[in-house]
Amino acid sequence: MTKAIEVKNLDYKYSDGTEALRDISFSIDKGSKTALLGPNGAGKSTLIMHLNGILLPQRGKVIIDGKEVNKKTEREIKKKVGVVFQDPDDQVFSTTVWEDVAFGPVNMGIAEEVVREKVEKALKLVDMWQLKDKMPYHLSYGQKKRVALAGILAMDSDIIVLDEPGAYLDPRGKHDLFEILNELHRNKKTLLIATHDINLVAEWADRIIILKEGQLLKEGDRSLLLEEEILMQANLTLPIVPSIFLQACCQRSKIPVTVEEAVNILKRVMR
Amino acid sequence: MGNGRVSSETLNIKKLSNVRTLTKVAVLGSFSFVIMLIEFPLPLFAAFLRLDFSDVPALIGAFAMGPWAGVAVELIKNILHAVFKNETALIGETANFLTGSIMVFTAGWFYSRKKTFKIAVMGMAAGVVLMAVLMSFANYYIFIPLYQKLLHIPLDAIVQMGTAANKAIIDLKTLVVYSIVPFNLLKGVVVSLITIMLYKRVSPILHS
Amino acid sequence: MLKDINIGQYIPGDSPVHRMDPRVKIILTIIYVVLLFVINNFYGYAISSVFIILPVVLSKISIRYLFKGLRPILIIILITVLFNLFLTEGEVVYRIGSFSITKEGIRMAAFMALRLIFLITGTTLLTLTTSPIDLTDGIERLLNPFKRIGVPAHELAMMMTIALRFIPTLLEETEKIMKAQMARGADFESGNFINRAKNMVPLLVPLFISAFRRADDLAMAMEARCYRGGENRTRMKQLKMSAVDYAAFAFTALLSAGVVYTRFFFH
Repeated sequence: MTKAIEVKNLDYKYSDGTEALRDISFSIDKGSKTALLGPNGAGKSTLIMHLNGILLPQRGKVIIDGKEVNKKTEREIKKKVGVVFQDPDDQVFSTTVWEDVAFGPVNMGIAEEVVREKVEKALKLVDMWQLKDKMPYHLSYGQKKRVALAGILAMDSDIIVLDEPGAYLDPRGKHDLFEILNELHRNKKTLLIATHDINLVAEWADRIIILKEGQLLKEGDRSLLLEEEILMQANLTLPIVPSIFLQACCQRSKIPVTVEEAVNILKRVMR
Repeated sequence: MGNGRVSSETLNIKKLSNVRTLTKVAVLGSFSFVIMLIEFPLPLFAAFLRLDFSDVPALIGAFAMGPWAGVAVELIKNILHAVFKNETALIGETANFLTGSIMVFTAGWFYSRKKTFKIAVMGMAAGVVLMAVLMSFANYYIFIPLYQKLLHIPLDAIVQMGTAANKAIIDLKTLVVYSIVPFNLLKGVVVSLITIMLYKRVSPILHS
Repeated sequence: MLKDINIGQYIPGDSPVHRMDPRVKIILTIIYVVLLFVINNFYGYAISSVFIILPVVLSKISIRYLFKGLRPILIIILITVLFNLFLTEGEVVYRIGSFSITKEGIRMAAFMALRLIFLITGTTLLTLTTSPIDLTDGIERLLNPFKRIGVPAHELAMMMTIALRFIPTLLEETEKIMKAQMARGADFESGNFINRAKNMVPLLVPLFISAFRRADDLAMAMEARCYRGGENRTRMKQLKMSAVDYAAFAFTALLSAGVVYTRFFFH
């Protein structure tokens, strides 16, 4: 099966000489939930901008669904990969919620009825349909964030990349957002989120990529979240659940990562 | 995350530079309008002769993106003023657009030839002078006769009032030279001075 | 401080005037303004007063707001009236010292005051009953046919949308930075002009930097959503004119004919 995203030996140097990415290689399966972890300045944003052709590789390759990203394919890639920016105020600019969500599909030049359908579907999915005629400016931060997400969903991209989706959201807002992401996962979308919220990653991701100073530190499944040394190198800490269990007891192989796993263990123990 | 700056030369498509110009002009126009709201009007004829800093973003825009971008900033600012404020049936907006555009375009045109601080200052000086000259012609041949025709204000009476205030004013020409020209020069000089003070501190982002 | 600045005149409502197509409102306002300058006698003003009173009544907008719109040009109205009153030659009816008021002067002064008041009231009514967003939309659609001769209607509309969106953000940011600087002793509200200008510089620098950053980020986000100018975009359905719009057109045509008639066949 072709991979959703394949990055091969990617380098990127800014014009001021900063090496933002150095020899990055990894791949992401279709339908997976991947977390891109790393401290500020690790190159997460730069990497994301390569995934839908805002930036083109200076060296190395980015291959999306079997197609290499370059000048010729960049248009097509933008339809395949949707990027939700960190700050919705940088992305949401139209005068009504509806118009903003329609912006992407309208740019794609698809038929008007299809645009209307897609916008409705996207707004209903993020539970913002009843606010479709509101001015985005009057919405709360969490609502704006959902509008930004709907704007990407309406483009029907197979791959959705979110830069710091949880940032500045209150706990409830975060919870709602991840409900939506789970729904997207059930709809077979490939999801990639960049974040440094390690607990969120523990609950949600099935694949982990850790960047440090523009280089790939480690890639792997969720067991990576138990490797304290590697996490420390990337200015991260152990997630709360494994951190408790590692200190309290247990064989490494039995350490839970999510709250649900921990609860199951506790139930067994306490019975 | 999200703080990584991307300089324009590394961005892949030419089109994006157009989209960037578009968004920058729009934001500068908006900024310019906001400054207009915090204006410092001179007491007399407040609605028609404004002294504010709203030309500063347009000047910076013209330096950063060329003379036409500066004119576009002036246009956006005045359309915004018209759709929000609309106090003088577009007369104030038209005059403001013309005044600002002449100055901003001239300064931007000089700077586009050679991008140095000296040329920027020279460009602004030329812009201010040209603006004052052209606007006196515009007032002499268009605006004042228009007011006269539309509102039936006898020019002789205005000139007489001017004479009372300043002996040198004897006819319409001298009235323009002694009232409108100094006002426009003052406005242009103040705006240019602020821009000069700003220039050094914002020029890194202009050239990025 | 900045919160006191009332940025718009628009008063939301659901009257027939509010619901009219913004394009129609703009065109009718233009026709109305032109008519005002065609009028040269009492009957013309009588007819045009119907033209302005009817929409005012229909719009259910309080007269207070219309008067508020007149305030900025009060001085000009006053000057116009005084000049016309005292300096029009003709049959003298009253004398104050060396000034004399003539019959023609009274007539002229009244006409000019009416012309100014009608002019401002008419155009104010447009901004009172149409939101800036609808007005911008109307302007774009009116400019659309001129695309062929090189008017960048789409770009202009896009820039206006973005500019409208940033007004509240920039106002907020200005206020935030002003407060932060006032907390450190900056003074924006006193001193002479030069000092105020100087104090503006430290305020403007962070605003410029933030404005440019926002513009860059927005451009990137627009690009990521496949934006590449006006070409090849889906054309969404245009505004539709309703019965009110057609009625307004018919009404305008009738009144215009009336005004033109009085101009050429009376007096």
